[in-house]
Amino acid sequence: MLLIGAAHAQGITYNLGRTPTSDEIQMWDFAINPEGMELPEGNGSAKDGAPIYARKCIACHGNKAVGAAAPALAGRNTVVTNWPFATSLWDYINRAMPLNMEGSLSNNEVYALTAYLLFVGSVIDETYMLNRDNLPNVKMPNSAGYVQPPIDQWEPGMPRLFRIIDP
Amino acid sequence: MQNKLDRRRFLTQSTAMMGVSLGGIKTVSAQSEAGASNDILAYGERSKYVSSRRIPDIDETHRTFGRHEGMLTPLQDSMGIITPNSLHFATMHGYYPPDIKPEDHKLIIHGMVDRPLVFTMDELMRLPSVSRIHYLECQANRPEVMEPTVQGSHGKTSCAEWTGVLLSTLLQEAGVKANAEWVIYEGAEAGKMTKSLPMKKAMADVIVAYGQNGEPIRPQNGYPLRMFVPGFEALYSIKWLRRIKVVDRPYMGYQEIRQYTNRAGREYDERTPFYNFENGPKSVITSPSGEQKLTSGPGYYRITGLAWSGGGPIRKVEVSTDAGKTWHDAEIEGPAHTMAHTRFNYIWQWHGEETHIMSRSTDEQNQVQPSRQQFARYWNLDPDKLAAGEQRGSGHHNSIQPWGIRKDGSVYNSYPLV
Repeated sequence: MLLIGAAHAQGITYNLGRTPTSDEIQMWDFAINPEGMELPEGNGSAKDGAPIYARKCIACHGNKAVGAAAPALAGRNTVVTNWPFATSLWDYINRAMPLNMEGSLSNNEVYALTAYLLFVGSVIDETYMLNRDNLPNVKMPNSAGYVQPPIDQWEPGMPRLFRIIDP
Repeated sequence: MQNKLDRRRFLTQSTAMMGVSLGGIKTVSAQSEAGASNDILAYGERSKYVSSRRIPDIDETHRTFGRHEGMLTPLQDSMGIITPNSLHFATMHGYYPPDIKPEDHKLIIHGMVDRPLVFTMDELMRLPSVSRIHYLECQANRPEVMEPTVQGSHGKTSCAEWTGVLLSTLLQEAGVKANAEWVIYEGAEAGKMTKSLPMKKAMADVIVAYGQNGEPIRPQNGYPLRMFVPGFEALYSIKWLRRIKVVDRPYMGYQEIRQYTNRAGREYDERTPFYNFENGPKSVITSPSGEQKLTSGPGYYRITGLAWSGGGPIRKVEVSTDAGKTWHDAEIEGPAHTMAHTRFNYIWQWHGEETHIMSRSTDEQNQVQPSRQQFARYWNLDPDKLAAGEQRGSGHHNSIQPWGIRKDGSVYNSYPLV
């Protein structure tokens, strides 16, 4: 923390680089944190997502997301059962799916597909309408399964941070 | 003594003579010339007799979809510590390098800063720079029963001199706000991979790099710009870097959660830490190694290999030529740079016996490279399942790699021997 404080105090030295516009920042700013801070407007339910899934996802991920050439997305050891945050699902569908058409889905489609996977994974109901406010609060099956190591006690140059941390 | 002096004088004189009458002296070593094609003149090609090459890091899903597989460095042919750029390993997560014109590339820094900034490549290159020699290793690099060669098992490590701006310089220009304990950053490839990094490391020694071994970074390694996080598992070193956001917590993007968290020894219903940082102390004998041969029967051979650690410089490398019963200090080709490949050598007299050779390294923090049994205990794993490749989360694996020697001098992968 001392280091960061010092860096903060130092300020501009080289005066290079320009200030981005707020539109520019918004265009880039699509990594979603676990509290959903960057989630955009929009909504969708599993009911909305089913036909989109059938059109854009089923060929690789299989009927009801059981997997085909690409991995299963619901069921044992999948993104729905393992991942602690629903926001990571939204983020990845939005940034990287479908393959070769990355970034082509609308916000509503991403909400609907996220809802569809959570529905076939028995996490939410078919008609539950996901949006930026309730998505971060979806309780994932493995939400208690991940812990943060004691980052406050870590400094660069310390021995490898490795241990499983008990609650 | 007299003879030696005479010989030295003779050599000096002949060299001087050659200087004034080039071509006038015919030596016994004269060979036909290699030719002077444009390829050789404009951008040097290696000798046609050198065939060392990368091999694909096979991924069935990527192969099914015709996607880019990773490339493995031919460590068995390596000399010294620097990996030539053409042979540097690359893990692509299925994505091809984006085609980025450097004059169009931008790096944006925003989030919890006083002054969000956009830099062009030209502006980044006007800032103070550093050039540092560091290894880069994927956490999945490990001894494996099914891999006959060191390239297959350990080819996801390489070492280069990386040139660029310290990330701390850029963050100081932007002005980091209080409580900003993390940065996240993102690549420009189709999958737009994201990683979270603690601010303490971001301010310490991280390089926003544009140079690799004296030339622009190669496309597979992130042209025109990459993050380079010394000593940390390679997934932290995001390629084709275009965005840095200063934040207050890790973001847990897809690649962070999917495969790089530490699930070692645990099924999914148990608790899993979010992240790992440094690679552990590691070493491997690169020659003689799997599928090579002790060429001319019993006699002296140079055992050579590489050692590295995320914990700092390598302080010691030991070699065993009797299956781990006794250990001998190897000679280190210094200087041993911090968080860099370090070359070691051990001259060994082979009497023609069947045996196993192996190495282990110790870093500046006195972290010692573990045996498989020690590694399993350390991470709460089943050592037999680990050896069989059945153990979930068997990454972060830095245990000792043994090579077996047969009576005929052929060398094979004898993991899991110890």
